[in-house]
Amino acid sequence: MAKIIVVTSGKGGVGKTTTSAAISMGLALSGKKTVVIDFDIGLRNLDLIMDCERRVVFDFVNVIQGDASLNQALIKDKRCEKLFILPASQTRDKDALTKEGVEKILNELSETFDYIICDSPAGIEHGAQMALYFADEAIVVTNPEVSSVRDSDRILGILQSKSRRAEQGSSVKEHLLITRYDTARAAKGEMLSVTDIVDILAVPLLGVIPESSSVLTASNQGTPVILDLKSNAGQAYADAIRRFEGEDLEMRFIKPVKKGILSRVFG
Amino acid sequence: MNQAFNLKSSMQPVYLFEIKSYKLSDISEQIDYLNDKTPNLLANAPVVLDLNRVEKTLQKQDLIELIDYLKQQNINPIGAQCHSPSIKKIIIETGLNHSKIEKKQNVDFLSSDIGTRVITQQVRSGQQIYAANENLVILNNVSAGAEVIADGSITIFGALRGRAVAGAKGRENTQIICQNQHAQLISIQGQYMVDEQLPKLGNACRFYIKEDRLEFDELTTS
Repeated sequence: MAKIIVVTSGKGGVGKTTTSAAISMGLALSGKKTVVIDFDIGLRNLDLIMDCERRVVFDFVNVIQGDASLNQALIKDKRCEKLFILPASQTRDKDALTKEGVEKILNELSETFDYIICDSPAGIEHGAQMALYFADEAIVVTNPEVSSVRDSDRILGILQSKSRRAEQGSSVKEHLLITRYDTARAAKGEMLSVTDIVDILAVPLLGVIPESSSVLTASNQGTPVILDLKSNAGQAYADAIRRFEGEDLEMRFIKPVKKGILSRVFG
Repeated sequence: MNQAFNLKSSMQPVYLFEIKSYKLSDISEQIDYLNDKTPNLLANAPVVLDLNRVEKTLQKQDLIELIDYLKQQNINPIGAQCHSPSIKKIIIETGLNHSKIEKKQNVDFLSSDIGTRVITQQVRSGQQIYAANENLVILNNVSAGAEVIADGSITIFGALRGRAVAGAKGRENTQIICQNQHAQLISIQGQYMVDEQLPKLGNACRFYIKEDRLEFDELTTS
């Protein structure tokens, strides 16, 4: 039985797809057979981040509607043989997702995979609800910004009331992932601090991904940032994966770096 | 026999005018203000006058003038109410109906005559908890954008960052107690406070109604 993990946030642009790509790649690299599903029907992005845009023949909606088999639609990653991508349809909208259809596909994937990562669309409407409904665990992605934290709080409420686990009387295990964290600005009080966010959301912290130019570079190149272990962001995602698998690691990249005299002079 | 009409019971909305001053200058000032803010709210509206607060000084002539004034303003007094027997007599003499007053219940905070609902989970943004005919006790945080409502009193042991509404149906002697006040709105029996009316952020507070006004005490341990 696979573990179903939804990557969600409520707000758009906080790094759900970047996180989905990094987390799925990280889990696959640690030897777990992993599939990542793009639930953002109509705004297909995951295939770009994963650099398989030109290999998409069939998509998620084709499989739901029975036009293609799951094996036809699954794309095997070229860098890691344990990782598969199920792309979204770009020409349809989110109404094409039905609860029965999604459940059937998740059940089928469950038989052969260890992890199913569901990359949720932004918002709290049908698409987002379909992405989280069947989840066993949720990674809630938040930026250190009040509106993002508020929206994450909203999505946590939906996880606790509208997911399958909630309907059955149990609960979805929640993880908080803070992205685009700028230690210097947080120290100056220009951004919410990690402590503030954890205080408001009261969810166990999985990781803090520092603001880093390597994230944008990685997206544009189609390389999940976790593969760039020279970057802070790549290392922070790698730490998050180890914490997800149960290791107890200290949070890195949450204190401002003191610049030495040389770096101050030479920038 | 052909039925000329059907007899049906129905509840019609009627405004209750709780008269605090029967001086026509005071009343006209407030009616002008209301007409300016919400035109048509009172146009041809049937109203009942509550005279309890002025029962000691009100004379028959005052009431007649008041009724005439209201009618000129297109407001239609259909009845009046008062505990005092002498005022009741005046009411009937002016041709208005005397309507019975329901006795208000006097209930103690978290009294045993209504139950208490306990919430252990954090109340998230967008969620609404309504404890109908109950007190509400919340052992966790209430997030910004969340709403907790009770017909009784509310006690919050976590941080209150959202809205809290106690005595939602007008029940008396209800109050709100919170450990860590960051509220967006506090309301008891229809009276409310927002923004800078609220006490200092982060303090423990008790909100209650005193002499028809929403008040608060900051609970400091020093």
